[in-house]
Amino acid sequence: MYVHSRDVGYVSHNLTITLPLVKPLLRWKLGQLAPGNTVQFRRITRTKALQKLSLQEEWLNVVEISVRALLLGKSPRDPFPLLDSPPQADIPLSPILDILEAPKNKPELRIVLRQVCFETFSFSSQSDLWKFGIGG
Amino acid sequence: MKGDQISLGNCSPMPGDSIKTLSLPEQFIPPYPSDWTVYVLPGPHDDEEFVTSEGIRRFYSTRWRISPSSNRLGIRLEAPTSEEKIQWARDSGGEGGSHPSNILDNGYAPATVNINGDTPVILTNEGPDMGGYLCMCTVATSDM
Repeated sequence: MYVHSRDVGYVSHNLTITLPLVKPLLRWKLGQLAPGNTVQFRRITRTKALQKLSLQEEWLNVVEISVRALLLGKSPRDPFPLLDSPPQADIPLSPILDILEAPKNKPELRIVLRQVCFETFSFSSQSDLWKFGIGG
Repeated sequence: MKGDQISLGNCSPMPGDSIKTLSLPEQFIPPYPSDWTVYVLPGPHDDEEFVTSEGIRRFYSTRWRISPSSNRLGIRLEAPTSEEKIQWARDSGGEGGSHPSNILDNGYAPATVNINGDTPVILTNEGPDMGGYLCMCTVATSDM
């Protein structure tokens, strides 16, 4: 885990904390988006995002097993579709994980915790988070 | 070291090597459509503090067009018509800058979708990992 707050020039009050993923990833989709294509974003839950990641690993396993089978002259496994399977509707989800309300006399100490992605979340405050001992 | 020599071993096929070319069976090749759906996690900034609730709804229902000025740093997106703008919930970025897309600098997650002025950009492999634009959503790892 590392705290990401590399600022130059002026003081930032936003911190992003990242938990790095350990597994190697298949990144194939964004690179296929070509000029003139269209894209629509659909929000999913963190649980669903993790499920989709497992499904992708399973897909890679099936491909690997099938390629090995072909090398031995055996028939490959039946694949399942990698893309958009199963299709999922957009869910209107809030990015806010929690709000820590400020004391009445110090409204600048209000803290909003926001989801960035399932392995990352960020803090933002109108005040200085170092006072909370989060940084450093 | 400088001046050292390195020789290549014999790379030609040895007896017993399979010299058969292997190709992926067609049923394993994913379809490449023209109209894509990309699954994202909401956030960090797609809430009413920055964009109106109608603006958020519009953002997710829009079919964004991929701009020719896209590269390994980012995929720039165009609205279907030039009249369609991001519906900001505020007049400026406050301490972050004059435009409502400005925030105080923060870290960008890989494949987050930031709003660069009024242009959404998916930050890709060589993209920045920090900056001062708000990010509507972040592409799920399985869809990167």
